[in-house]
Amino acid sequence: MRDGVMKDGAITGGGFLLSPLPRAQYAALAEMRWRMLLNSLRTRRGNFELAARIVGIGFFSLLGLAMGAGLGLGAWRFASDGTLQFLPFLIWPVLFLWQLTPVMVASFQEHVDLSVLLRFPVSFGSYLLQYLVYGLFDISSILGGICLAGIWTGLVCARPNLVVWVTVVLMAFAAFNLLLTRMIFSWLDRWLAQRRTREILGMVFLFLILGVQLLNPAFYQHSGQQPGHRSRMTRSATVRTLRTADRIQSFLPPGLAARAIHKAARGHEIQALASLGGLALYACAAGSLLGLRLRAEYRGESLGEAPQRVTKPEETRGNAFDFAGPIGAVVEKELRYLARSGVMLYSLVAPLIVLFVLGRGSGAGFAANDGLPVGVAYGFLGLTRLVYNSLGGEGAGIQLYFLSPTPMRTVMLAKNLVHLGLFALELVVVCSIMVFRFGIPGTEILAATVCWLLFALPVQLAAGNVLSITMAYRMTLTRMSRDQGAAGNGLLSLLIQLLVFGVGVAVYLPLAHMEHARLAAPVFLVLAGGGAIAWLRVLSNADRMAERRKEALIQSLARTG
Amino acid sequence: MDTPAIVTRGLTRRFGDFTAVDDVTFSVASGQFFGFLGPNGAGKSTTIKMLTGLLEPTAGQIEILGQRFTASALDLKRQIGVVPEGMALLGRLTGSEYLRFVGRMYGLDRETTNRRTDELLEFMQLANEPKKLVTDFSHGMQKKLALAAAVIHGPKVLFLDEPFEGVDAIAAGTLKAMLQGMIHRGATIFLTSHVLEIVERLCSHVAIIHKGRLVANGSLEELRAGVAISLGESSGQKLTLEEIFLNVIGAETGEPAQELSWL
Repeated sequence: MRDGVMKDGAITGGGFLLSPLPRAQYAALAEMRWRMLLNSLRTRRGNFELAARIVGIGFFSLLGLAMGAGLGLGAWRFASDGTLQFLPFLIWPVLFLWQLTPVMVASFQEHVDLSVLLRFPVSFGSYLLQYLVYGLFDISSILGGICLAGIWTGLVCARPNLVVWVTVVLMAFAAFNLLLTRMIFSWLDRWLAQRRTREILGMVFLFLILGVQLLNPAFYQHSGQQPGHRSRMTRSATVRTLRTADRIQSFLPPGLAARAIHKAARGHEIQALASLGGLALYACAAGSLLGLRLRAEYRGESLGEAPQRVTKPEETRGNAFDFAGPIGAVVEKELRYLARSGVMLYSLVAPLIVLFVLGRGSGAGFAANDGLPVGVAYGFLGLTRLVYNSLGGEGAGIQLYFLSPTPMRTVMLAKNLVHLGLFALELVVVCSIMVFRFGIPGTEILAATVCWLLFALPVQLAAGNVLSITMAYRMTLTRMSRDQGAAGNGLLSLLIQLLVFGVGVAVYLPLAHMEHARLAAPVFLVLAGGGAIAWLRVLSNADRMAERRKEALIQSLARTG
Repeated sequence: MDTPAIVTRGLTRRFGDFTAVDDVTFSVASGQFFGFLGPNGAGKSTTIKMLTGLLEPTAGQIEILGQRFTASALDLKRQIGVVPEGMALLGRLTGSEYLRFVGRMYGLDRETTNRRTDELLEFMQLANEPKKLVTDFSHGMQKKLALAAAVIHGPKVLFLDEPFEGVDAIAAGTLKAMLQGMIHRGATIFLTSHVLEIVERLCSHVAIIHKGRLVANGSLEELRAGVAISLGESSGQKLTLEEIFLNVIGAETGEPAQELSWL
């Protein structure tokens, strides 16, 4: 009898992470993923999906390599010059990159829903481990890992004697980041899945945005004073602020990691160990919060929104959306779905938050002119999943569209109306943020942006309708996870958006260079005419396209497994 | 003579080299409760998908209510109701919202949709939990809701794919009462089910499909007589539908071919 295997063939020993049963389960999972990959290659769509993933990972890896090289050079310089006290300037960006990337690429990143494993005899430790292992393949982990590898290389090349310290500290920092990002996403999943917590989270988002808005005027409150006086005040205030910030950051994970390396380099091993211990404590705290969340999930927690039994029938007549006809019915249904999907709401809000957090207020006219079109284009990212996979949330309900006498073009038109309405809302918020942070843009760029939008919107809707029908993938509206098929659709939708933005740049910049920027608006209006024709053509062909793709659509959206 | 409600001629569907439905021809008279039976993988769901426009036939023709049926025959779609295999529910709506949505998709006016929704929810005993999302419904509740959605526009022909699967006795009773009521009012029902007792009680005519081919078709009495003759028994003996079914598809009722010693 082999170790851990009973004579009837049942593997035992499920108590530890690496005992025979979990090992067999890991192997089975790896084989399952591999078989799924191979099986997916049987179709053209599957091949495209794989190619899209390779392109996506390659792109982000190259981006990571560029950033890693830069950080590595910086680390090498600090270590060579003996100025390792500046190491936090390199490690903090890694933290922001690791934690903000999932927000920035929320529309393109695929997550695997591991709750399906809970029907099997999987121990909690194995479940947690699987959750973390899948996190290693996230874009944020790849980028963050490459950046840390760059810092490691720079430090070790300059100070080879620090190899052990640098390795241990940076690995601890990587573990902390992985645990933190997985912890944040697991809790977001939880909060966004239920209406009450979603509403609270929505308010937190709102206060966060308003809070960050207040930072700006607070920081520039002396801007109206005399230049000499202002510069003296600004200098002293900046020094005070930097000292305070340095004291605070030295107790936070990036500061602790940098401090551990700095102290080790100066031969203060005890202080280095203390900083490393602090970092480990943060990692343990993040891990504990993650464990708390996953433990509840492991015990069979349901994230469904089943409210208490209500005996009085709901009064539904006379509600605000109750206008007759299939278009009204689809619009109403879409809005109800949106309101009940925290994930979709999050996707809408995430780019706005990023736009605000990453935007740098200068108040100069140049930034104002740049900010508006970039902000408007970036704001559309929030609608990517809705527009480019508009049938993805239907699930088995997709069959209804084929069974009912309502043509698919009517359904797509209604969905597009909802998209336009949502984009109008996003536009108001984006413009408010842009004007508040960068000032009012010039008339020419404003006119060009508006006319570019008239071109970009119908083109995006047309492309979105085509991809929604031809490359639909099932979306789980209550969890931040998506099924296979998301990578190909996500990559193509990103490329189309880049192309549309590129057209804007290619038209505006040369004209602005020749001091004929006012001509950009009429050019965009001509292009807008073409975009509108394309959109109408796609709508009129929607039935034919859907009919051709009917079986694949039902298969990919209505399947339950 | 009345126009048949459903007619298929040489209906065939292939998936690559595999023929799921092979040259199936049958007719269902108006007002008939028609049972379509077959073992797992026989081609029942594929046939019903083709009959309702969810799947394109590789060959053959379909006529519903005397008109050639294609997926783009929108007027014809108004006259049929379907409970498909996956039930076609929208999980993030409440039962009431879903029925109102379906009613409007079928072109009913607002007042009619609202009235029928309330009546259907009451009849199906789904009115007690108006705020519950469909995704949180039990399987039986989802089946009842799917049936309610299939009939909200008052179809003349109703296609039901396994409507009693996973439904408790009380809910099944509700569904049966409703279906019989529809037959009394002249509708035609095309039903696939594995619950042969229910089919025997409800259906007047039955067709059996096996490995994609139609192997029996007729009234229950005709099938009984045919099987009795093939068994060499007197036609007066009352065979159950289960016996007819097993005899027609040639299944053996004895011991499994291989014993599972480890079980």
